[in-house]
Amino acid sequence: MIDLKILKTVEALKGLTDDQLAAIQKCSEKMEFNQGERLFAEGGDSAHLWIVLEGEVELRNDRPEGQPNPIKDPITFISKAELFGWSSFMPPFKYKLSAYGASPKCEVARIEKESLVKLFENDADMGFELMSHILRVIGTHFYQFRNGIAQRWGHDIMSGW
Amino acid sequence: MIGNDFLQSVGIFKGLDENQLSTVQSCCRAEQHKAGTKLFGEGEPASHLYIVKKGQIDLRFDLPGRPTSEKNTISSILEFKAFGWSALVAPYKYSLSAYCTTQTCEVVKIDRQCLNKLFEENSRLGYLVLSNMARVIGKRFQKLEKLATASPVSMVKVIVHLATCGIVAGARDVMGALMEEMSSSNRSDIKVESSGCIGKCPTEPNVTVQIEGEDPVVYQKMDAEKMRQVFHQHVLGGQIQTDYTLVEN
Repeated sequence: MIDLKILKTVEALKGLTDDQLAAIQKCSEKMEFNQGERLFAEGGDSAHLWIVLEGEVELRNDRPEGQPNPIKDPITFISKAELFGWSSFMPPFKYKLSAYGASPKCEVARIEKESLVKLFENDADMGFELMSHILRVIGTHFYQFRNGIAQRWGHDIMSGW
Repeated sequence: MIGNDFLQSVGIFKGLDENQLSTVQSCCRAEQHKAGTKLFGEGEPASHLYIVKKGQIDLRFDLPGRPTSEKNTISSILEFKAFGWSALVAPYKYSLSAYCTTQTCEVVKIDRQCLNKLFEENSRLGYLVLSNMARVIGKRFQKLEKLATASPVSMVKVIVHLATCGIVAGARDVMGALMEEMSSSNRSDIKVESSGCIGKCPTEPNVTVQIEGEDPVVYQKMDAEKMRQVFHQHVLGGQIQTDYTLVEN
């Protein structure tokens, strides 16, 4: 069982009431991973949201050599009480990066997206609160990616003149 | 007047009931712009969310000291599609500039503060719109990833000649069919433009297809069905449809 105290510290869940957090707790599953062990693979079906309960998780690009990948995603470390796996809320519902345990002990909560959506359908306040956060994260990643392309193309245009 | 019929055809308002659509309508205002008009600039406060009602809006990055150009286009937004969603995502600043690239553009402007107030009053409405928005961004993300692997200079342009003579002969239907095919093609590297008469009034509606590195091909006496065929066979498939090409007398 995931401790409610930890859920209360998660930035994305801070606007939720105790009852709402308890509902999320019920559709969460606690899992443990060793350092270097893979939680999920890039390109795999993204059906869960994840929260780090203890330790750290590393998100990194795993694409095999030779496949086009013009703009490298930076390696990101996810710390305690942070949420990740937001690609479960946007098409094509595939993980954009792989996740690995990055500390000797890595404890995470895995929340099934479908169960979460059912909660949102019944409690629109919770749905709106959490979707606002998810949209902010998705939007930030989209901007970063788009800016990367704009910078590269801008450079091509400037140097071509 | 912006009707519920229009709003319910827009992806980000999918699933909203009549009452919810009517409340959204109260935050909307229609605007018309001419070709080349800049609707908003990169870095400006994102005070409105927009939807294209007619025409095409290009989202472009600006280069210091350089005029805007289609080479700076990151996304082309067609009818019923939303843009300027920075209005709903912090830090609420437009990340690209928006330009009207068809002869005229009709857009629906939705006031950010008004929309946020609606979301506060009706969280179900807010939840539905934000969920739809996440899906829209996801699809744009996918398109952009595809675009990032393609060369920015491998341009394909389809020009519908929309002068009075063309319009009388049915060029608007041709443009409509082209827009529909564009929407479902997922090919953001293809540009759609309108232009004036090319001096061939008896053969209107005329359509020009320009593919980088190839001679432009002018099609004559087009209609919606022919346009769909040209789009699939020539624009996407590379096969010129000689039955419809302009015959010079």
